[in-house]
Amino acid sequence: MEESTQEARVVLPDKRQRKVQKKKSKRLRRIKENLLFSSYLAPSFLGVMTFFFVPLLIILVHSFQKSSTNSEFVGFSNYDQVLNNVAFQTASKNTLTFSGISVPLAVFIALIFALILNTKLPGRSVFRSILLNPMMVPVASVVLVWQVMFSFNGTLNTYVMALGGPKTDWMKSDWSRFVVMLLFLWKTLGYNIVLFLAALNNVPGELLESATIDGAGSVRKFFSIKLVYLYPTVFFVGIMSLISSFKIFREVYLLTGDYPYDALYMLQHYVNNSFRNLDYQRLTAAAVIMAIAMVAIVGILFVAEFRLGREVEE
Amino acid sequence: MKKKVARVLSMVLVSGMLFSIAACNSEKKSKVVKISEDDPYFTDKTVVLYQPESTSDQVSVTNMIDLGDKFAVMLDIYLSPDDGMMGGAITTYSTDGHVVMESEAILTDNFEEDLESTDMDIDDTDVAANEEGDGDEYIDDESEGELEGELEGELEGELEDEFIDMDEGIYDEGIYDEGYEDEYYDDWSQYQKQILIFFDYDGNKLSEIDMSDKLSDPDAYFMSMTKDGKGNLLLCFQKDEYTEFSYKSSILLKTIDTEGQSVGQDIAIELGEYESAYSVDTDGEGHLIVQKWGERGGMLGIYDESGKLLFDIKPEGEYADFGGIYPINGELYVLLYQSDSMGVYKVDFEAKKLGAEIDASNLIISTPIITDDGVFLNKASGIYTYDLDTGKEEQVMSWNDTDINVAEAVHSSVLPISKDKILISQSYYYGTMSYYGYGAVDTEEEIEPLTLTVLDRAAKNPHAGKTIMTLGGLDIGYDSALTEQILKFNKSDKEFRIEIADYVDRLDASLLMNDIEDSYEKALIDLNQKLYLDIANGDGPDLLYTPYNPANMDRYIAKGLLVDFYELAKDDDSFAKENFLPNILTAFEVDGKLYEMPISFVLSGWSGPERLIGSRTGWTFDEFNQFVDGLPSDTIVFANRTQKTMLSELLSASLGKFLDYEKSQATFSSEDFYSILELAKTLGSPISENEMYDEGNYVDEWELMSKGKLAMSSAYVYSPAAIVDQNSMFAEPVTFVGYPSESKQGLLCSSNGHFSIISTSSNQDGAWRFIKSMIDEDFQNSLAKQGYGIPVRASSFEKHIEEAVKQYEQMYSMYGDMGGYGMGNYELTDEDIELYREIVSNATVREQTDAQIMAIINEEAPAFFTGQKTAQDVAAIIDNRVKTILSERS
Repeated sequence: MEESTQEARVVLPDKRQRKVQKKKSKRLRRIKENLLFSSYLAPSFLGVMTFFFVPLLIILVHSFQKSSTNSEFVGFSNYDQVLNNVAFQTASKNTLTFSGISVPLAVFIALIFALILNTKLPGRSVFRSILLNPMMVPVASVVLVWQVMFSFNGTLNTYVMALGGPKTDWMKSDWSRFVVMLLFLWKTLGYNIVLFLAALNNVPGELLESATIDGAGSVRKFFSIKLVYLYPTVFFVGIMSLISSFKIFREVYLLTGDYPYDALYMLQHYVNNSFRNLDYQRLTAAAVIMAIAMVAIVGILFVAEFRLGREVEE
Repeated sequence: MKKKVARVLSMVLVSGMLFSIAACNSEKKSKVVKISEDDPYFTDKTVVLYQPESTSDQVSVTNMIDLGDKFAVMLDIYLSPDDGMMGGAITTYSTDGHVVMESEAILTDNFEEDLESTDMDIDDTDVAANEEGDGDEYIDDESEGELEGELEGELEGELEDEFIDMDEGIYDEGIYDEGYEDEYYDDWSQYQKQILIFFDYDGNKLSEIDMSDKLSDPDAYFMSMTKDGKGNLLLCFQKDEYTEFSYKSSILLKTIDTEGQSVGQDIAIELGEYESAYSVDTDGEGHLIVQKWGERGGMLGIYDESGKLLFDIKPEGEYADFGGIYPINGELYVLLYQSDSMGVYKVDFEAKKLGAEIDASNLIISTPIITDDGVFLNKASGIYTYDLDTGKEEQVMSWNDTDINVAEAVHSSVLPISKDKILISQSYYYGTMSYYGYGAVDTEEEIEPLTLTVLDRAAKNPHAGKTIMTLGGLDIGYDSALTEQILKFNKSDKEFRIEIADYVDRLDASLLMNDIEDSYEKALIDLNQKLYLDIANGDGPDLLYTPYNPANMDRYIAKGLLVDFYELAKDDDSFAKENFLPNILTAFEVDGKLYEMPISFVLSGWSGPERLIGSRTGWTFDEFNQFVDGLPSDTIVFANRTQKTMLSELLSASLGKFLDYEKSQATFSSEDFYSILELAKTLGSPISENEMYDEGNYVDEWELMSKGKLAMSSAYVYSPAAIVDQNSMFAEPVTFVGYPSESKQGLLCSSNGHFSIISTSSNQDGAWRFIKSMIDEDFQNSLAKQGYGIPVRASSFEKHIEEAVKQYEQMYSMYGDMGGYGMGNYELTDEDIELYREIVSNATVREQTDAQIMAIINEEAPAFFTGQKTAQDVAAIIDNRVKTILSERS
């Protein structure tokens, strides 16, 4: 290059150099952007790692070890023990039965109530408030009321005996699962109804009007129009209810303790008792099995929802 | 396709990583920790406080009072008369043989002659249970102070000149007239003195002053000592005046300086009628705080410096009482015990009452030490500072950093001078007493002096290089024999040093704040859970010591956390199973392995008159039912037992019969269990344990026994003397029988303390060495003398019988016919000793309980006891719930 004269001269790079410089600056910009995005994501990422992935890894590791003081690898022996354990089998059966009955009921009854409340019913806002109230009541209060009502010397037995019926220990007999289902429905319906009401409001009014003009009745309109638009909400409510059905352990534990009548013995009882007995291996194996089952069920529901949802779009 | 392959590959890699992480470790062993030179350590210097001259002397030592550059203690000494007992019991009988009154007396040399000179011969009052009385009625509690005319006359005049009696009950009965009091004082002063001693902080005695002469009022007795906040000591005396129907007490406060000279006028505080005081404190704000007891329970009197009453605090609730006075930072806090709770309250001087309760549970579960430098806590693990506002504790010193007997230190008076210097003073000397329950003195024992220990922080730890071995458990600090043995081991072993981890320091005080039923058991279960958690996580001790067994040790065994002693000792020639009582070790085995080594044990079961029970040692439920059905109609089977207690006892030997662990099934739905429920309901009382001892509910067992109307009682056998006890209570020969069971076993054995070694410990050799020292002949023979349960070593068991016989004979010759419980005494015969040997050799089953299963049974059974459900319904629910527990465990 010629030495510069008194005047400053700008030397332009050639075409190839310009191309390389352009690539470099693009890469640099991308790196800077990535760093910036990563810094925004870092707190969430760390949180998810710390509270989700790392514990998950630890759980998985523990489930393949012999004991908390002996890390000897035992393969799937812990899983085998858990799956063949009578208590786990009972708990699984009870949990599936409970969820299998109460979740469809929670969806169906909530839908019925939502349809009723979506009409021009006088005082429907009052009914709406009444149905939503259970969501606001603390669990301990709910349990107390249920105990007063359903205990052996409780209110229900007082009425039953007054009518000449036998005195029943509702919480320590096969009736107990129905008592708990009632509790679950009472708590869950309000929220489900709100979701269905919102979904019903989104059904296009002109379609319903057209159907009315074409002579379709209420039942036909419901099944052919409303229900089709409600599919996504039905699945969402179903999944939320399924998750809530697993949380019923909280109320059952407060009502009946560590070892309830066997009809109420849920998977969470098994896990909770394993934790109290510091049987980490069984605890982690059971937790992994439950997680796999949940993923499978929710996966099936999502696939079904996806297929049916496509229909709606079409 | 490529994407799918990539996904599968990544799943395989993740799984491989997981398995390799899971597989890379092996069994964890605990870390080996060695002591370094820089680790804290306190040297100890021991100074004699007082040397008792006789094993019958009794000495109480006040807390050390810090005077800024020195401290003071007052020794309150009761001397024993020459060749005579210091204290004894006078038992007065009505003519039908029932105990009317028991009182304490200081006895002179002429006691036995004096007794013989009376017309009342105690032996004649012994009556067999089925003999008729002479027509005099049983005297109930209310009229206990009244004697029948004939008896009263006999005591008056005969005993008046010879006995000095401390019990006000005697005065109430009008036996002694006014003129007797001078004689009482003259005799009394010979046997009591108070010595005030001043020390510097290094334990050097500065002066010793005999305060006995300075007591002007002969009727006043020393109560406590405190400081007046002006550098002087405040000595507190109480004087009681009795009238025919009541008594009145007053407090005399004497201020003395550090030379022992009186300062100013004595302060007199008059108490109300039926009030008596038991301590006086000052709060540093010019107030005198007097803990009193009145007709309705405890009270707190707040007085000014001149002794004028400012106000009384009477807590609500019957029989509430104050447990501690804490003047802290210019405020006054008190510990209040009520019938169903306890708590710490601040005194509101303006409102003249107790203020709000504060959260200071640490003051309740530890021993607080209030000093001018703040509050300290004397805990099982050491000395801590305590901040009342924040609740924070900070350790100043650990007992493990000393070479003193921890059990003695924890129960002594402690004065922290600074973080580098701590003083410990023994609090009492009550003579070398046997533990056989009769107060016999062991005159062969050397008389140990009362001591003061000065702990100073050392620059270097002299035990550097030794490996630390941790002994964990509950209430280790209460077992003086154990802590003494630990001390010996630490001094002699070159390789290991034992440090104590007493989990009682981790007690959740909130579980004890409310006196609900089973609150103490729940607190113990919580502590056991913490211990188990540490062990399961590999952070636990090397050795585990269990003085009792409220929680199930099975889970330790099931998890492989305990070492099998037979396996550990198989190459150790110094350990041979034949040297021990074979049936006892076998009772502690689990599937032929020994995980818990008992050091000593006791036996439990039932006892009752032989004429009713026969000579059996065990029975089935059917046989027990037949026995109950065959009793006379006026005979009660048991007294003062709740239905819950009965159920626990009836199940303690036969619970396993209803549990099928292999099939995870429970079989409570059976006739046998229905019978047990029925028996518990019939034989037990429906009221709760707390209500059992309330007036109106409690049944006088002794009265029933004396009249032969009680068929059974609990029996705890720990010595041949227990045989005599039972014979004496029933006033006839008794039979010892086990709880009903299919196998008809005898009494159940339970340990008085047992050791286990944790399998993850790296110090198993050292642990075994220490445990061997607890089961060797020397230590086991020392147990034989102390009466801490029955030694497990066979040769020591024989020694234990010899010692028991010797001490019983000594006691019998000293007390003659005055001791014992109900009807009189029985001699310890050769037949009794043989029976004792037989009972011990018949004990083949260890007392076991399953807390989880019993909790379910105790939860369901009340519905049957109250008649709400049938036995079949209750049993079905128990089966259903217990099945789940068994399934989980399989």
